[in-house]
Formats: sequence, C-alpha cells, structure tokens
Amino acid sequence: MKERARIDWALGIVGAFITALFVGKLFVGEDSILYGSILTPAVMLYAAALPKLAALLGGAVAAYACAQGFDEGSSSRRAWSLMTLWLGTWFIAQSMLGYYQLILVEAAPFPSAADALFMVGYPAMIIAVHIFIRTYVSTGMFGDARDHAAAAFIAAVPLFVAAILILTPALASGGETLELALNVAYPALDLVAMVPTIVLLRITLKLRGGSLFWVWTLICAGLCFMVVGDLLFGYFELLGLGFLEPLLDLCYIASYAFIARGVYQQLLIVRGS
Amino acid sequence: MGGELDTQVVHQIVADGIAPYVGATMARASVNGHLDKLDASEGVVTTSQVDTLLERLGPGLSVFIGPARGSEVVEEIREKLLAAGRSQ
Repeated sequence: MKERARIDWALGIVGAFITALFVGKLFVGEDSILYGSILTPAVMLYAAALPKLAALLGGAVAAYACAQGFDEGSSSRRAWSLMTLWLGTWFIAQSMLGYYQLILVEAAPFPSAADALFMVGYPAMIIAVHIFIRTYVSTGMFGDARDHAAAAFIAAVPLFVAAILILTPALASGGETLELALNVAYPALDLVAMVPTIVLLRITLKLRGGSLFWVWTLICAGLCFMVVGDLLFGYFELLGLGFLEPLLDLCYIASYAFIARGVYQQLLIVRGS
Repeated sequence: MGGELDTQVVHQIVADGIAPYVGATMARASVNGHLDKLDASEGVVTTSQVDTLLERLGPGLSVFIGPARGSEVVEEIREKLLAAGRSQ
C-alpha cells in the first residue's frame, strides 16, 4: 500500500473513532456509565482539543512548505504564505483556548487574546482564497474573470440575506461592546469567506479527475464545516442547546482535518510525491 | 523532433501529461486552447509550434504545482514528444 493511502486509512480510522465518541455522547448522554466514568468531560475536552491542534499545526507546517515550493514574489507563494498565517494564528489561538480548558481546567474567557488571533486569521484566509482565484483565472483555463465575478455576486446576495437573519439576533443579544462586536464579526466573516469559497468550488469542479481537484475539494469542505460550526455555535448559545456541543466539536475537527489534508495534498503535488 | 508531428499525437501526449493534475477534461480543453492559439488545431504541428506550446504550458502549470514540478512535467512531455517524433 502506498504511503499516502496508509496515511488516509489511518486518518479515516482516527476520524471514525472521534466521530463515534462525540455522536455517542449526543445519544447516550453524560449521565451514562461510559461518559460519566470513562469518557469523562475532562477526557472529552482532550478528545476535542488535540485533533484540532494537530490538524491546525499540520496544516500550517504543510502550507509553509507549499509556499517554499513556489517562486519568491509569485502570487501562488503569497497565497500559500497567507494560508500559513491563517492556520498558524488559529493554531496559537486554539492552543490558548486549550491552555484554559486543559491546563487551568476552567472555561476560556470571552473575549480573550485567542479571539484577536482568530480575527487576524480570517482576513488572511479570505485574501488567500481571493489570490488563488485571481491567479488560477489568470491562466485562462477557467473562463472569463467576469463570469467568476458574476458568480461571486450571485453567491453574495443570499449570503447577505442570511447575514441579516443571523446577525439580527446576535445584535439584539446585547452585552459589552467588544463581546457584541465579536459575536457579529465571527458569523459576518464566515459569510464573507463563503463568497470566494463558492467561486473556488466552481473552479474546483472543472479540475475533476486531477489531483488538484482533491486539494480544493478538501479545503472548501473544511471551510464549509467551519461556517456551519460557527453558525450552529451562535444558535446553540442563543437557544440554550448546550447539550448539542459535541456536534460543534465534530464540525471544527472535520473542518481543520479536511483543510490540513487538502494542504498536505498540495504539498505532495509540489514535491512530486 | 523530426520537423512535424501529427496534431492528434501532440494533443494526446500533452493532455496525458497534465491530466493527472488538472483532470482529463481540463487538460483536453487547455491543450485545445493552446493549439488553437498556435493555429495548429488540425493536421500537423511544427517543431517551433511544439516549443511555443511547451513554453506557454510551463508557467500556467507552475501556478498550480510549483515551478520545479511544472518544469519536470514539461520535460517529461517534451521527451515523449521527441520519442513520438522519432517513431514517425
């Protein structure tokens, strides 16, 4: 079996195991013997935090290695460097949250320095995806740039409507200014990120059958899971559905794992493996 | 390369070379576009047209897979075209 296939098998088994842990918690509940005495909340915190950290760190390292594979000053290198910045800042932010939850054994404060780092990562990611689109379209292989601009506009309209629906309750929830700003910023930036993601998906579909198809399918799938996770987080908070938290953990783990695997796929291509 | 190559042969070899990265459909469309621009979509392709085609293909491929791998792929295609030219 090829090394890549072995890695995918191992990732699949770990992914299935983690999914079973969190889905099991949803159905069996914390009062059961399994989740009350073996898979305690402390164990589940590790099960949620470690895969996220591993995926973000792996993704950041692979993105950095990808950037080194492109010429200095090239737009591809700029885009992969921004991907490194995005995944790197989110790895540090997630580590900070992990420090509170796993080391200090207390809930992470909100807002915290981790939120500042998440906010730095968002524009890096959005600009990176935008540069990838512009660079790929400039090859002339994906049709007219105006078609993609039209697709972005068409995608933006329903997302704008969704933003109004999603942000209204967030705005109405009140709270400190910074807290309120972050509650609005997270879903707003998610929806902004969805616009270039949809355009990138259109481009990706044209690469069916090639190894680049998997790079962008995995990264776009990861971005979609991230948006779903953030939107669910907002609603679960508002509606007091805290017991559905395992779903959120699964969304974020899937998001970071898909993104990291996509970036690793690009690294394999750049290195000719 | 021996002067001229059959367009279909060039199309097939170049498309096969880049298809593992961009997929067969995109590879065929890309090669069609390049051959059209070179006014070589039918009949035969001259050596200089093949060189131009490969020169144009390289930078486009580098955007996706990096310059090092891009050059390797172009060289692999060039070698296959040379072999096809010798056998014609």
